[in-house]
Amino acid sequence: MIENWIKKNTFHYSEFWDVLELIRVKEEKNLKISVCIPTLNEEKTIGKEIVILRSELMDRYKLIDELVVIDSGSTDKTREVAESFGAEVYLSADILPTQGFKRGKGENLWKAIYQLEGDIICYVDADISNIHPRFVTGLVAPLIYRDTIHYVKAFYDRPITHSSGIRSSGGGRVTEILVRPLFSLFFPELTALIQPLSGEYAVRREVLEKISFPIGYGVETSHLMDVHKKWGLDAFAQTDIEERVHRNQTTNALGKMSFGILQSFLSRMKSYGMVNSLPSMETLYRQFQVEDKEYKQITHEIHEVERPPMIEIPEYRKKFKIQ
Amino acid sequence: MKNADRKKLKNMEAEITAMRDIILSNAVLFAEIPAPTHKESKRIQFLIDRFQEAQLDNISVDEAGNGLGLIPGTEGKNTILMVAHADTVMKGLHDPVMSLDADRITGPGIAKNSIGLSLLATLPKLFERMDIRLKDNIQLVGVTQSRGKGNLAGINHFLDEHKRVLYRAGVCVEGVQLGRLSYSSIGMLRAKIFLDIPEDYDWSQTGASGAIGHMNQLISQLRGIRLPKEPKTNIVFGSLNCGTAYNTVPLQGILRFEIQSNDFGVVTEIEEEVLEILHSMEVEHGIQLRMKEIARRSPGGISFGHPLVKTVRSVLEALEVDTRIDPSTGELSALLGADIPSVTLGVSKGKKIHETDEYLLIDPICSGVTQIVSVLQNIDEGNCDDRELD
Repeated sequence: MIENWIKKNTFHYSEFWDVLELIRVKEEKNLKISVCIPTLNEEKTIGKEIVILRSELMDRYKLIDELVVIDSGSTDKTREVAESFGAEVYLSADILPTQGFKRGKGENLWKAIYQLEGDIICYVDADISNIHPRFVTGLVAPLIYRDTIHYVKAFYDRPITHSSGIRSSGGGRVTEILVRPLFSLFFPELTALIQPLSGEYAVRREVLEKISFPIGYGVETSHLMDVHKKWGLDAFAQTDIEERVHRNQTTNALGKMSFGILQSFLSRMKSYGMVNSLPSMETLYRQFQVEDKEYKQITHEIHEVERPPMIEIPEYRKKFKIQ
Repeated sequence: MKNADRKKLKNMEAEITAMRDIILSNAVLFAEIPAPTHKESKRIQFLIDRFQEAQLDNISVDEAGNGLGLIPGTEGKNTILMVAHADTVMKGLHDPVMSLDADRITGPGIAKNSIGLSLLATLPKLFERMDIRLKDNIQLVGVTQSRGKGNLAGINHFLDEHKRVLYRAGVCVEGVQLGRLSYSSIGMLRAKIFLDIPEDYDWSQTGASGAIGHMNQLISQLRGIRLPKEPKTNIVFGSLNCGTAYNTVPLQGILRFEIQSNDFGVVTEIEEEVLEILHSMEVEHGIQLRMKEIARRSPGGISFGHPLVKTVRSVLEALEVDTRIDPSTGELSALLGADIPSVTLGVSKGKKIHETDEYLLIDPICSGVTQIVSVLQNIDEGNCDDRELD
């Protein structure tokens, strides 16, 4: 099932090089596409994202219908820089004021559904140093071409190639140490997503409006769990965007992120009724490797067998004369 | 320039300002494709993609890897040549990343010469949006192998292949500095001097030293060469590599330098003096010194009063940009050598050239582009000719 899904629903951005054809199908299907960039203190990278995406995908090609920055209240010049390059900029707190304001990326993503008009919303993180039109074309194209796909995730990290031509692949540290083991244990199908925590994804409105949004670090993980539960694995696709240059996070920051993700994960387990009746735990751990641009899941059988306390062993008790 | 023409230029600048982000976007996309000299093919391919999108004529990549495209003129009797070099001096950077602030773009190669290449790629779109249709063709060429060891191989190949074409004029586009006006090329010899201390070096001799000491002595002697005031002559010491650690005496060194003069005979005379110095130091100190020529250019040019130069000066004046006369050793020298009346013009202002934090100011770009479009229009209208065209 997973291998089949990877073959059918994993793309490379270069497959969608023909932007004119993409626009033709988009117009034929009467789709409107919005791009949302959630920000908090991103003055260093926001200008470039606006210039590249606007000039390439709104001006040169009319693929994007609106490009909006939703800001959590930056204290640097993020909003000023974005506006100077012609972006539509909103303060998250000003959108849907009746619902109050909570600080967090998920809040901005959620409010974007209300503020933006698109049938497809493409979220792009603001901290990408090597922004390129492929970050949008690669994600919206599967939604434009295939009506059965509802949610497209980006993946991009390119770890070191080994001399054998085979390399390990996957996400960052939190993905590989926390999320992939959790998915392997409880939601094995979701391990098909090479980079479940990537901040770039394009989603149909009819999906976004029906799922809830943790406002913090757990938003991506809980999206995947909820969309998987309601629409199944076939609703997803993923696109290789190749390289993404961004800030490296400190271990402390990753600890905070993991804590938030665990909160969201466990609350989902609870709401799915899985906490008091845990399913039998999987013993297959699933990772990825790439060979000649082909992504393959590799599985490891892992049994955590336990030994009892030594004091319960008769030979031990005898040797140390324990009554 | 008449007031009406000044107003026309200001209107053009406003139109170009409205399209500024297309130029910026192209500049960033070009700059993020690595293109050290001899490895420009990916950047040239991106240029070709842009030419294809704009549906230019005669799009091709020639044997030297140059990217070519032609904006056809309404009459097409004459052709104007517009070139920008595609290679960038890279310091081992594989994936250059640009950053864009409100007032500047920062990153290696953005000023030299991604912005120039961006202008080639964007010009067809600018003409289309501004409804500019020239009578003359414009031959756009993104040239390879320009910098350093490339020794202008790209442009020389192009000119050799097109030697039967009589180009009406040539415009070379460089990123910096806006206001730069080059209409002559200087005579130049670019060379490296390799210094080696041999194994049998006598460390007990008077004045024995490692490579740094001998390099210091060599540079002192080169600086002692008497340079004539006329013709204007200069020795530029570009870089010095010597040593690897705090506590190890280096045994090798490399000095990169250029001899520049408006008279090539003087360049040759100074070259002979340099060789004499190297020989005497070898004999005196028992070290090895070898000079390797990297590039050589002959001086040439058009006059300050040439109609093309006059036009550029008046356009810059109307745009309130100070003109700085600056002889060139780049593509211009090849164009002038092929008897094409040509100038090199700058697009914007920037600093830290060839450093990883090289930057280009955004505000002046629109004046720079207006200048170039206006010069092309003037050439097209026959305001820059000083010879009969067939």
